[in-house]
Amino acid sequence: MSEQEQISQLSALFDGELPRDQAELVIRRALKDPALRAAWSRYSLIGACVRGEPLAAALPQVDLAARVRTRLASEPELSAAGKADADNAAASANRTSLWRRGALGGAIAASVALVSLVIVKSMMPGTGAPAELTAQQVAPQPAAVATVPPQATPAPLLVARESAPPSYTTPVDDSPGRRSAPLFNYVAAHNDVAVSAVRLAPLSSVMGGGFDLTQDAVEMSAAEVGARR
Amino acid sequence: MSVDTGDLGLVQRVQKGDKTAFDLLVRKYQHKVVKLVTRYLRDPSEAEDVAQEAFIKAYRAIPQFRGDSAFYTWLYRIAINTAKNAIVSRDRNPVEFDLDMQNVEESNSMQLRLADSETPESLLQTEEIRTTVNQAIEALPEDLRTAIVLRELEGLSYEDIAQAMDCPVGTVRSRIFRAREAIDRRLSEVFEGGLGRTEELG
Repeated sequence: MSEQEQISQLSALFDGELPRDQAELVIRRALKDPALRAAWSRYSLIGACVRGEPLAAALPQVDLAARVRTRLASEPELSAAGKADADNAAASANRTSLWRRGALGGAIAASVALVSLVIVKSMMPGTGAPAELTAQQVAPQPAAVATVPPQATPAPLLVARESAPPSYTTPVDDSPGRRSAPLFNYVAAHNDVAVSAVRLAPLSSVMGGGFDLTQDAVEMSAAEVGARR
Repeated sequence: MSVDTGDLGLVQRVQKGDKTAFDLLVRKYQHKVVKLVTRYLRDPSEAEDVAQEAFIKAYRAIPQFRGDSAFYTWLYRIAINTAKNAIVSRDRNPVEFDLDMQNVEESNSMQLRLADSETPESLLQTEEIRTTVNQAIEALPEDLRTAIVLRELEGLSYEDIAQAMDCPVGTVRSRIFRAREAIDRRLSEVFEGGLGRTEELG
């Protein structure tokens, strides 16, 4: 094959217009022949001129391709690097999976604690149905609910305690005749359960500020219970 | 869009560990990538550094390239992400002027590269290349000029150019090759030894 024909094929290869079998042959030739690689660079430069692209990368004093070659010389063999990338991706996926499992476990634990609390509460004398209680205590304080960080929303228990501690621990009718020792005992016991649930829930560690808010609410509730006693 | 057999063949060789094949991809796309990152980074020297980094990242990631898109589309995304990361990194770590001795050498090297890419000599050289190529294209016979412009400026495939020029694909291939050869000859007249001086152009 003449040199002219080789260059002609290189031009078509540059444009991605050479049939695959011929492309393989020309690539092999170009990889061995510095003159063909230089022609390849000139084609790139001509195209860049036509399109008005920056040309400095091809100037000898910049020579971007040479800089990349120098960097690549210190790169590990690609097969090993590719394997490392794949391993990293797998490790990252495992870490994500573990985190998700932890988060799911925390959410389940919080849900179970909430359901248990509601059941216990509904069995106590002098208290209304859970749904009524929630509506009665949370609805009057919409602004306070809005101040809770979004992360805390999966745990309604935290919202209710932070937003309306007085009404949560005190019946609406505050007359002495309506006070109930079992209810206060329940509230005190509930405080312990609630704090334990928050401390044990894996999600509590990633809910910034959520724990502190709950802690404040529990302290307020305890103080209030003590005052009422 | 038809598959670019040249790029695909080179990528497959790189995936088998042939670094020289990647060098051809760098030579082919370096100008496009520099232009792309210059949209994000105004400083030419910084753009060249980021372009270099983008190529390195592409090389490391190339085992994952499966040919679902064109190589340049894939490289384009890497270059844009590298440029954006460079901006974030720069904003997070603004240049400090109280350099310690450990940084002085690196700083000097950076300034040298800055000077290299922005000297009047460089500007003159690039301007001379541009003028020569433009004049060479103007001097081409119309059929060659149309073919090379449709290919390089409009990015048309040989088949599309053949339809536009109402001629066989083989003729288009020949016209584009002859146009490139004619332009290269003009460049060679301007620069002693030719623009494609093998080692200097990398």
